[in-house]
Amino acid sequence: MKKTLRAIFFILAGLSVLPGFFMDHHPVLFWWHGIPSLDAAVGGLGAILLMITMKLIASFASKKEDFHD
Amino acid sequence: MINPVPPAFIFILGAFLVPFLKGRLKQAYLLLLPLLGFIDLFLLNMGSEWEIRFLNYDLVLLNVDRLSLAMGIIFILVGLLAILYSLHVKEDGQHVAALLYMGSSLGVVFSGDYFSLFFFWEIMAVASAFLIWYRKEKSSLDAGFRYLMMHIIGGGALLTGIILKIVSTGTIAVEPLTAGLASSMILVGFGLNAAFLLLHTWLPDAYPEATVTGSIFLSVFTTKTGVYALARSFSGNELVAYMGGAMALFGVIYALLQNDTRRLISYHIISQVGYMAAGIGVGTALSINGGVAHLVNNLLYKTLLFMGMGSVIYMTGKRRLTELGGLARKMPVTCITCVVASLSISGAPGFNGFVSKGMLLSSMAEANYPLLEWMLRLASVGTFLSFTKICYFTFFAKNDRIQAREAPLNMTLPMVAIAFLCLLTGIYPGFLFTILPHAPAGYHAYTLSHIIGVFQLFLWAGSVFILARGAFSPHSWTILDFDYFYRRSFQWAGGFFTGPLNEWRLRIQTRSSIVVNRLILLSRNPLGFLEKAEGGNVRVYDENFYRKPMGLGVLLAILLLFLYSLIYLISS
Repeated sequence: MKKTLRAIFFILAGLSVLPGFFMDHHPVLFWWHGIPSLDAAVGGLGAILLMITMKLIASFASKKEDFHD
Repeated sequence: MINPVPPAFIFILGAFLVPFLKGRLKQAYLLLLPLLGFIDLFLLNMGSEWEIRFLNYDLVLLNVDRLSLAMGIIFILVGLLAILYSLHVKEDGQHVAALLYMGSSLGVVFSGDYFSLFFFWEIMAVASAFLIWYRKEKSSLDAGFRYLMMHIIGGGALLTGIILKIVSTGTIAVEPLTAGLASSMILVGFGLNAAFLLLHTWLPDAYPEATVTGSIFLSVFTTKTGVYALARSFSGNELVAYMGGAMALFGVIYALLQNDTRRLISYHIISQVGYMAAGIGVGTALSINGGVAHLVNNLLYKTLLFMGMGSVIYMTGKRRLTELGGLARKMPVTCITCVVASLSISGAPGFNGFVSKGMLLSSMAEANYPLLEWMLRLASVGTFLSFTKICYFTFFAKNDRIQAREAPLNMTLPMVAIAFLCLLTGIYPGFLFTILPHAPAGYHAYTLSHIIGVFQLFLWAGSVFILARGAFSPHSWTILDFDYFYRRSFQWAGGFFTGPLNEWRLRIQTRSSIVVNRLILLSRNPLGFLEKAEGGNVRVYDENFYRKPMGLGVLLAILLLFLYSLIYLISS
């Protein structure tokens, strides 16, 4: 069940990219607004970027819970 | 004809009656106050009223325009629901503090001059500290003191700015401010309440330590009055705009790292206030409308999130994600309302965040702020991820050991009401647009590209969450924030004052004592002191030995008189 749900989620994510190629973004104020399915890229790459930043901060800023005491 | 009063008076004066009431009567009275507040708002006229002459300045206690009225409505509405949520609280002091806090926030909103604003600003700081202290744990006591100390520093900066402004311009009216030392100091004061970066540490430190009901009130008023004050005085300020972008990003990154549920949401307050500050800083009609719309929406879903997590803590006694999980079936109403709040804050279509976030992102692009647009886009990804994390690990992750049941009706009812309002303003944003400062709003949220774009963002960010769930899993650790430097500085200062500085004081004191003792000796026996200095034997002071004959003095007096007479005769 869990695996099926996961598979459906990934298929939906893949399919969600398609409408971007048949749809205009109005208004195109910067050049990147014209990139098809930009939000999918922002979602995926942004999540990876945030994850890396998180790990980086955690590597030097994580302490035991009673650190301040 | 009933004349309206400043809404602040209803709550501030009303607070003092609470200790005299008991049981159901007290509960009815607590609910009556916000209803009276609503009636008062309906009676208000646009413009300035309640002007009082004080020290040759005009204090304006009731300045009504579209912005202050919008803030008044949403503050009283959310305040009413927060009071309903806290009806079960037995301690009168908590109710008194909450009402004083609510009243003084309304006082700030309707103040037409900086003196009145400052007066209410300080009541807010003190009253809200009690909502932290009422938890009565050591950590709350400490956090409350740190909170109050930061707000006293902010209040000091604000007062300095106000005095400098009066000296330079001669006016105390709340108005847009330009560059200068006075406005910089006022910006620090407002910025501290709005949790500007580096001044933000009090927020994630204090809010999770407040009482369950206290944190609801805290999440509503302090930062939002800060944003309101920024909208009044610093609209169109680029520094505020970029500060907003930085806050939006910083808040989500730190939220993702948290284990404590209320601390996670507290970091999200910083992030969401960042969105609002960015809108206000950009300063166009659409961005200001977007900022205010986001403020209103944020008040709804953020209050709902604090209520939801408060209910979880109240019913389970646990506040860490590592200890939670499996509550979806045990607390279904709390779970559903929290999911609604999470979808709203993430900006899902059909929920209120979708409208205001869209307004803000469009306004950034229209006003040619590409960097800000990207900062807010990235922050949206982080928002979705952190609320996926909090919902998953609180309600859906496996945990067979947890014991809980649904929260009482007075707690679930306001949650359902706010969830309904999140959906209502999301599906029909016209409600929201009628109260925005710039009319008409002129924004269409539901375009195909916007809807599909948000779904794409969610699905792809969600895919990363599923694939790298371990990276987002909560851990039992503390993540150091900038308060590390403050705490270290204060520790260093404390060590310096009690260590080296105290030693210097003791040394100076010892040396001074020696000097004083010698002066005493000198005054007792000046000649003996000189003899000692010359190496001779010191004789015990005997006045008969040192006393000169009286005739010598008389002779000197006669001589001086003779000289004076001579000079007088010659000169005349």
